[in-house]
Amino acid sequence: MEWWSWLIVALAIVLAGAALVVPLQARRRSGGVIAQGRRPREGGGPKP
Amino acid sequence: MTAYMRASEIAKKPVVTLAGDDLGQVKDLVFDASTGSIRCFTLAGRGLLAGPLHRALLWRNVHALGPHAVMVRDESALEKDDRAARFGATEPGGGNVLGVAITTRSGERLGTVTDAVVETGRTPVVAGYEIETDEHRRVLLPVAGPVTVSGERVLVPDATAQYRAGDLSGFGTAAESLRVRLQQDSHEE
Amino acid sequence: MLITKAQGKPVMDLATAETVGTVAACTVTPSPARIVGLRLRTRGRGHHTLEWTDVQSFGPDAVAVEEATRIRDEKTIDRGDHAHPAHDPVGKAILTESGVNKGTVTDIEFDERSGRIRQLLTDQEQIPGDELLGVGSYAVVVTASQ
Repeated sequence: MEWWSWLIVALAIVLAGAALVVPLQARRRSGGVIAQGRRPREGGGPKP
Repeated sequence: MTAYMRASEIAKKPVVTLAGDDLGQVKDLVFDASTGSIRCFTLAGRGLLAGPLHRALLWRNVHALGPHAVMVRDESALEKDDRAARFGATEPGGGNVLGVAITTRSGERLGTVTDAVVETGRTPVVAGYEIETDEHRRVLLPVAGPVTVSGERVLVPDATAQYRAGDLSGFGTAAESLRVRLQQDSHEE
Repeated sequence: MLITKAQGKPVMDLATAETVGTVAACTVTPSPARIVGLRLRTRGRGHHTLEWTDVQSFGPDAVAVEEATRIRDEKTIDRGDHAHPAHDPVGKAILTESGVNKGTVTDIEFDERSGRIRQLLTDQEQIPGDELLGVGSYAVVVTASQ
C-alpha cells in the first residue's frame, strides 16, 4: 500500500474512536433525579 | 415569589466558584424521598471527553442556584467523593425516578416520570414531576402530602390526579390548588 | 482609560529606549479591583506578562518600564499566579454570585495611575469595579446588586 493509505487508516481509527467515546461520555455526564430513602443510622444497628 | 425549575435545567449547569473557575457541571439531583428536599448534587466534568467526577456537592455548600450557574464559594465546597449521593440509593425507598411509573394510592397509573419540577428557594424541594401520560402527552403534576418514592414507582394521593399544569408558569397555581384540596380532605376526615 | 484604547500601545524599556512589546490585554484581581498584569504581544509567538508594579508610567502614547528583564513568558506562570492569563476578564461571561449571567465583558475602564478598575463594560451595562468578586478561567463573578 501507499504510505498515505496508512495515514487514512490511522485517521479512520481515531475518528471511529471519537465517534464511540463522545456519545458514551455524554451519556455518563447526563444524570438522573435520585430519591434517597432513610439515612443509614450510626452504628448500623438492626432496623426497628 | 416561588420559582420553579425543571431538574433537567439544573443538570448540566456549570458549577462555578466565586473566583470564576468552573469545577464541573451538575449530573444528578439527589433528594430526600420523604420530604422532597434536595440533599446534594453529583458532578460531571465539562467538555466532550469528560465523564463523571464522582464528587458530591451538598446543598448546604451551595452558595446560590441561579438560572445560569450553580455558585459555590471555592473548591472546598465539593466532597472528596460521592458517598453522600450513593447511600440510600440501593435501600428501599430510593433510586432514580426518571422513567418510573407514577401511580395513585388507589392504583391508577398516571404515566411515567420524564422530569422533576424543583421549587427553588432556601432549601429547594422536588415539588412535582413532568410525566408522559399513556396518550403521549407531557403534563406537569404537582405533588404534596404523603408521597412515597422508590426506584420502582412514585405513589401519590388520589387527589393529585386532578391537578396538572401544561407548563411551569401554570405549575404554581396547580400546586397551590392541590395543597388546599389536601388540607380540606384532612379536615373532613 | 479603556483597555481597548490601551491595546497596541508600545511598551518601552527606559534603560535601552527600545520597544519590548505592545499591550495586548490585562489580568485583574478583585478587592480592590485592579489590574495586576499587562499581557504583551512580543516578537515571535506567545504572550509575555508585565506586572503592574513594574510599570513606571502608563502614558497616553506608550507604557514605560524600568526593568524589561522582569517581563515573563506566560508559559512560565502557574495557574495560581494572579498574572496567569486565566485572570484576563475580556471576552468572559459575567455571572452574579447568585448565578445570573449579565453578558460578556467587552471592555474595562481603569485608572492609568493606580491600575484600579472603575468599571467593567458589557454591551448593555457598566458594572462598578467594587462589585468584582473574582476573575477565573470560566467567568467573571460580581456581587448580586439589589
